[in-house]
Amino acid sequence: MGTPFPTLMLILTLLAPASAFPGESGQEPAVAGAGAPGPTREGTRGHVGFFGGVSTSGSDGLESGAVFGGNAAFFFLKRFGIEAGVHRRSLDVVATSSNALSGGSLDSTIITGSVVVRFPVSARVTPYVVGGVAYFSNKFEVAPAVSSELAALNFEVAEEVESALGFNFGGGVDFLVARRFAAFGEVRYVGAATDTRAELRDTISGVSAEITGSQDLNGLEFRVGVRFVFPRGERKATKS
Amino acid sequence: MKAFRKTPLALLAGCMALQVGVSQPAPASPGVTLEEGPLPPLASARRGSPHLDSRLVQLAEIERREGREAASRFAAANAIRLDAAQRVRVLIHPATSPSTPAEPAIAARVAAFGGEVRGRIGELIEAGVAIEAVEWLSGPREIAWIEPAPLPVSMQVTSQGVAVTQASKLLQGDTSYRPSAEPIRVGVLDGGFQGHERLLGGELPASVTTRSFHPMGIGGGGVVHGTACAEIVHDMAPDAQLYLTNFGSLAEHGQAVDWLVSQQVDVISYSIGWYNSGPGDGRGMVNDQVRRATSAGIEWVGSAGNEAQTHWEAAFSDTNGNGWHNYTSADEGNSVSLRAGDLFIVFLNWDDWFQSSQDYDLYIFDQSNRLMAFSESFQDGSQPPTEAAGFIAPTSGNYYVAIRRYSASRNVKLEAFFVGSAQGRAQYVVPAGSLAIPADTDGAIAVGATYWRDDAGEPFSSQGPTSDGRTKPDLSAPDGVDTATYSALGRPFYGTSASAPHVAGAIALLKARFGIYSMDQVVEILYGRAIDRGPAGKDNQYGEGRLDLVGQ
Repeated sequence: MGTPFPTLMLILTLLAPASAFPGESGQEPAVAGAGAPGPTREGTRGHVGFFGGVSTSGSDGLESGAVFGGNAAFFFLKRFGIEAGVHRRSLDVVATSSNALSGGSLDSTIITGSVVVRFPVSARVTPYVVGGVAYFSNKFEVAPAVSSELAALNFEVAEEVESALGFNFGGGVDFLVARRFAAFGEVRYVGAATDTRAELRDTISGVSAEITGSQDLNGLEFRVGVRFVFPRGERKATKS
Repeated sequence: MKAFRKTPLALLAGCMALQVGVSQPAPASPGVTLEEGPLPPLASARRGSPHLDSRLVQLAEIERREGREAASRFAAANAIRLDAAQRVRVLIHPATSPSTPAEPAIAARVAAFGGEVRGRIGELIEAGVAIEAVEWLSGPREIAWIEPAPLPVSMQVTSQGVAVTQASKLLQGDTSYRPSAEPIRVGVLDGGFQGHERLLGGELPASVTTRSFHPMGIGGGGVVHGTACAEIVHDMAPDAQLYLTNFGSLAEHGQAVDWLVSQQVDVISYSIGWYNSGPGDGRGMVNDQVRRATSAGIEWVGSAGNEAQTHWEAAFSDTNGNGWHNYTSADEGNSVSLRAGDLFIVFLNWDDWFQSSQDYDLYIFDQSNRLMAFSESFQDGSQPPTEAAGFIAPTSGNYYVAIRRYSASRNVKLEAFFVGSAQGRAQYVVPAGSLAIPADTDGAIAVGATYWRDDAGEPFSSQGPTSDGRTKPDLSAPDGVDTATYSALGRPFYGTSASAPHVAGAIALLKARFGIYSMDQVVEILYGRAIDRGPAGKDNQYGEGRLDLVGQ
């Protein structure tokens, strides 16, 4: 599957006018007029959020599955920040054509570290792009139907997917729904290439055979979630 | 019982005991010695030539005296192969000469007498020559020894009863794990595949690859044995690709093996055995051909043989000093009960391979001590330690196998196989060490037979050990099963011939379904899963046990 990154960047660039950032346009957030103090011109200092979503089939043998997790970001400049996140991705796996994995389920705990660039278009709406590294810790379980069939024939099967360092990139939109809360939606491509190991053991004779392979763990994730935001201007407002 | 000193009553008693399957020797009784019996005097001087097997000498004499038809009968009774042109297939041992290669001269001599070189087995030359030319051929110094080319013997035992083919859990469940990407190729090497074409797409795969090295084509002149073996392989491993090849002689056998190697088969199913072809310790011409396949990574699965009740071995013992072997202290003949028309062949060899200087001879007498057949080949240092003699019984009754020490410096260990339509009726038999060649080959899998219905070891199934002390067979597998081929003839398929293709098919099936395992691992798994029978652990009757793909 091709990377959606260039297309996504183009869309976000078109959506983000040069004067979009609230601090530059001089506009106050609409929420301020509603009685709730909004972010200052400097925007938010950071956020902590949670999300859920789906990962679509990205690599050979990997089916669609659920993702959920959280992340936190710190913006050391108005537009630029860093983000750390952790999420879990659970996918069904069908037997891969490369024979690296049999049918089963793959649970990955994915830790990401990324750079975030944001392009606010209004006081409430802030598109952003993000990209960085991803570390996959994987656990694979052979489908119970397969393992039980094999057990009936006195075979025991075990398959492993090695941990791997990969990448993540994507983009999304923050929508401020309250002074400290935002909802967001994003698309993120998360991937890595890793090694696999499969072992079949004859439980009677003890004869076992092992085979190694390689497997891509790429997937396009569609996420929605909420964030607790830390407004950048709060400290200045207190002083004044 | 004693061949040369029994009263008629004693003879009758021995015969009856054999008819109910008792193979222990009858009680010894005093009697006349061999010299005192009514035997015709044996010539002190040898007939024939030190370069020519005794059977070939006799064949030439019979054709000269009695004509072609009598010679054909003698050939059939003595495991001598005649082709359609009535040429005899012989194996020529060139004389060892460091300076002059003998092979071109021999080939030229064969051609000069109207013969044809059919192939080479190492230094040996297999040729078809006219019967009358055999004696002329043996003249020059380039030729050390000429013998009849060994004939393969199908490992099938005809019996009674009806059985059904086992179906495995593996096939029913269609279970696999990391199946092999390519279909497993199984070669079936046999004497003939008569009728296989009509089974394609049913009892056999829709298509099979065939190659015949037999002069009579893939049918081998009406031999259905290979077709039945292929059926069993297909029953066990329906997705396997089958390569069927047949042969009629040792040279053709080697060509067929090489062809299977070139086709990159994974497994060879082999339900054939040979006699007098080696010492039984894994050495010999046939064994060498098997090793050509195993060294190419092919799993060779062969029948152990059906000779447990037709095999005898013992150290030569002449307790009364008359030159004849004493089966017991008072018995110099091993009796066999034959019906009129029964074919009976004795293959004798002893432990002085490969160029023997221990000369022993073989004789078969009737109950009136008339000589029925003999083999008096020379062993003066350049011939193999073998004799073979056979005949067709003219009348029903007892016949006696006798072994004479002609010229020897030691008492050798003798081994005899009694072959023909009278199998299982010899008086003295020794099941141990009855493996047919090449079941003794190290690195090849030898398969014994158990009756499918009750898992009992078949009494005829050949037993180990090999002559160098290795435990064989390696596995046992069912026989007495149904095949379309033999069902059409009204009988199940008995013998280790039926057992070996079960194992070959099992290997192909496991490898196909569990491609993650190497072929050697698949074999190890089968050994581990075998249902132990007989003494605990691997033994010389059942090997690791009866084949089972799932285990207990």
